[in-house]
Amino acid sequence: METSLSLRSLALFEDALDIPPDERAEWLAQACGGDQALLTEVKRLLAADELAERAMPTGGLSPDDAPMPARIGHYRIVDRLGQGGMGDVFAAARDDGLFEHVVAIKRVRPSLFPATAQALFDRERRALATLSHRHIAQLYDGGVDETGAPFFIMELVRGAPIDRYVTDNDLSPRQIVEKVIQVCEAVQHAHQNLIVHADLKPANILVNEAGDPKIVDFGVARLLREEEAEAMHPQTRGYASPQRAAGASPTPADDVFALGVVLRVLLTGERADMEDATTLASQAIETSEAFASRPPEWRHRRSRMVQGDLDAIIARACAPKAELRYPAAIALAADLRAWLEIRPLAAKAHDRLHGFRRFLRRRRWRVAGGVAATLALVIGLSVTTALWTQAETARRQAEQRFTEVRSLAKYLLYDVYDRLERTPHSLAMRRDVARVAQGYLNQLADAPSAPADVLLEAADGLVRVADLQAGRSRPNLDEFDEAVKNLDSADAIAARLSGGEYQARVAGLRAGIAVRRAALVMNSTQDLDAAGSLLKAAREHLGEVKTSDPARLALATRIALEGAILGNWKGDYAVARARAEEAVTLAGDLLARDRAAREHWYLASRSQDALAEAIYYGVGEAASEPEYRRLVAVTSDFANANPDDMLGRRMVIEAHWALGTTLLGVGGRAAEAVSELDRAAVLLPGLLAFEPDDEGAIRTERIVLAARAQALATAGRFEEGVALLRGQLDINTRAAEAPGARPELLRSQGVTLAMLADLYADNGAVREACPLYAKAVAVFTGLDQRGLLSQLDRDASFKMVRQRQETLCR
Amino acid sequence: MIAQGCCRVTELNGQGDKARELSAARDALLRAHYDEFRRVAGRVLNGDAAALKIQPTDLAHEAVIRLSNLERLEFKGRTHFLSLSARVMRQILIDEIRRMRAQKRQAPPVSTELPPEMGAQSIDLEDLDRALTKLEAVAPDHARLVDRRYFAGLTLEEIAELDGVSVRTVKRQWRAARAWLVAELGAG
Repeated sequence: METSLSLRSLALFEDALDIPPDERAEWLAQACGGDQALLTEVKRLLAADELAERAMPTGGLSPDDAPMPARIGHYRIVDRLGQGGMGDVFAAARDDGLFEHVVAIKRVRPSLFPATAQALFDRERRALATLSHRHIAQLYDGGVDETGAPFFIMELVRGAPIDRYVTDNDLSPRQIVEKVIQVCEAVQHAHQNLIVHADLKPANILVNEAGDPKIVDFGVARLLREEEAEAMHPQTRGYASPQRAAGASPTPADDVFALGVVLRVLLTGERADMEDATTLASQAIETSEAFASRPPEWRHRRSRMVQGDLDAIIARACAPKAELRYPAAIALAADLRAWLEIRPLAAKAHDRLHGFRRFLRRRRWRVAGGVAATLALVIGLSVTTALWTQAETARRQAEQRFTEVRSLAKYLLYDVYDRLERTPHSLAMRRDVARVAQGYLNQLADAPSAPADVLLEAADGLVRVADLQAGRSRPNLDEFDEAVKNLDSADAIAARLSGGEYQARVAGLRAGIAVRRAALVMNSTQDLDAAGSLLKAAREHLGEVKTSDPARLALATRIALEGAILGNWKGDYAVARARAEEAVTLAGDLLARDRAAREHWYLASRSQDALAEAIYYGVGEAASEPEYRRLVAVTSDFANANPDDMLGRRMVIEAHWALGTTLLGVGGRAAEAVSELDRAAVLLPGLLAFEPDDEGAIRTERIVLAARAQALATAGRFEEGVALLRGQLDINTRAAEAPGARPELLRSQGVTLAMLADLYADNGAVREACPLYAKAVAVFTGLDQRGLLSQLDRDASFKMVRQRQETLCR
Repeated sequence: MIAQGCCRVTELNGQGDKARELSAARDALLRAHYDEFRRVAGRVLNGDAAALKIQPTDLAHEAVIRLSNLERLEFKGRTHFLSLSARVMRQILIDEIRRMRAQKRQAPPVSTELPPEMGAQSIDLEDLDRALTKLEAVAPDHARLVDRRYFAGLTLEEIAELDGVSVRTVKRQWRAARAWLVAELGAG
């Protein structure tokens, strides 16, 4: 019964896919003919399909499922040239009566474009259309058709992929090298226009009927969703450099790597995805299955031709480290040309081989890879010349492109991101946006001809990306490692610019980077000495910033604030208090200057928090109460001024929590503490509903709940408190035992264990408390042995646990 | 394009010393498809692979051994071979997980990241296996398609070519199978 139902529902589901979504309901009702069970089942499948589609929206069936369209744009479709994972390629003619112009139209499956890339698409396309080279298939135009599928109109190349061309025409190594040189020159031309191909492989290098190689799909790969592109073409992975394979954004060095693989594949007939092609190309030829049918002499002869210089050239092009590779495609081309020229030319086969060997013997140093090294000097010169002669035209195009990329990155990082941040459930999208922007910024920073002001802006942008990823001034993406990497890249750029005309701005940039690194170090690895030196560096850089710089005040506040936080972590409460008082004053000036700036509110709140903490730990609970009351006031102002800002809401919650737990310690004020913590609890659901995956919000929830439980018990509602804490401990333990849990989660577990134990012990249930203390000690000891326990924890939580264990659990 | 080491295996079979032949056949298969198996195993076992004792290499060996024991050893090329091995791949992975769970009382769950085209969620491999077994009972063609796509890493285009049907047909079937699985796993 169920069997036939499922089978019928699957068949109906497949048919339903052909019906336009808005007519489906009616069609389905009719098709099921009153069979309610069947109708329910098909609907369930359609709902599940929608769920799956949302992960990869296609807007209906993929276009390559659709019949061949009659027209795209102004073009009449003549023929389908190809169909693949990426989409379709059509031959099309422009027949507006004026002239007959045959082109290729590549229509890409919309699912391959992330939603965020739609905006890039137009800009990219315009940049690509400026690319004009004999060996690059010209892109004429492009757009988006009525089904939402992006398409490119390009030069129609009648011919075959270069690997097939090489086999079909039985090209000699010499002829192969000639073709690859032409390809290198085309790639170089694109690089000078700041366009990276990012997906070079034989299938993208066509050879037309005249024997001219033509590169297709320039820059298209970069627009695709990476994981999609990879899933579609597992065989192209062999052409990806280690950096690309690791997910780095494409650079010219990756194209050089791919060119090296192409050369190797064409010469040896091997597949590219031989994961460890450690053998020399010359050796690979002798064992290549592609040449299995060739006589041994043929293989031997070919391997001898490749041996030595060509092996060395391929090895350098495919060097795993980008800095060991040819610095440019044109450098690879020059080595190949040198290889062509040093070959003895007009000799008979036997003599030629003999002469070649003799030649190699004479220059043994070259055989060992020397060609690449020595020629690099000559090439360096020729690259400069080539760059210089083309400078005038290239410069204008490059500037144009810099401007576009800059404005794009800015638009993404500020306008789009900020808007998304106010949109619920946008975490995944925000991650994407940050990543795309990061790619653009790295591209800017890596461009060899980028001027100083562009670099400075790229560095600023990377700092901003790091803030989005792990900064505490906003609901961050919780990507600590990425943030550290971006700050490092930004600092590398800044170091390069240091001493130049922008010295004062660079100093500000570096101060900002150092203070952020210090904050990250304190929050993740807790290396307090490192944080101290970073803050010292930040203060030194700050000294070089012009007093007229409007960013200086915020920077000074931030440095004072992180100094206070560091003092609190280290237990230097007097230092912490002094720094915090300085930060509070500076933040007050900031707010007086502009009350609308969110960063100012953030700094004021955090500074007040640091001050209250320094007094709480340094003097005592009762003394800190007024400071915590001030904290509640300033954060409430923050939240009221920015009602849709989740950071404000979170800080108010944390302020209520801090005040509540402080009151709890004062004695006799547990009821007040409960009501303070209840205020925090009331605000929590809104925070979590806004972004259920936000780690920071989840942490806040844990802390507040645990404190409430403690307050409840202290206020005489013991059972309620135990139940709350038990539940909390379960959650903490699960989080701490998950693979790759950060020390912070272990610490939470230890703290909750200790609190539950205290709760029992304080209420006379020693028997329940002792095993919990033992567990807490184990957790803290573990952290301490790994050097992950802060001084604060050692002085407070850990010490208290051990003391209580000693006195209670004999 | 791809050297068909597997095809020469067919010729070997049926003459001479059977044991030697089988071992030769195994070696040839292993060489020819080792990378592919490893890739599939790596993809299916993503982050949780460390929890399992089985290495992608072992998996490739195991798959070849089990396949060599099949009565008929006629493979018409790479895609055909992979298609036949898909079910075996799945079985080996599941067997391995069960074995591990039997040994350890508190074995961690082994999850797999469904590809985005299947909803990109992380699910327990055994759950996936159970769902697929259930699907096999009601719609064997659909289940086989998922095996070949997911456990053998064949593309829909390759599957269409193997079966001699249009890509469109395979895609519709794939989408139906996917919807069924997503519904099933979501409900479970």
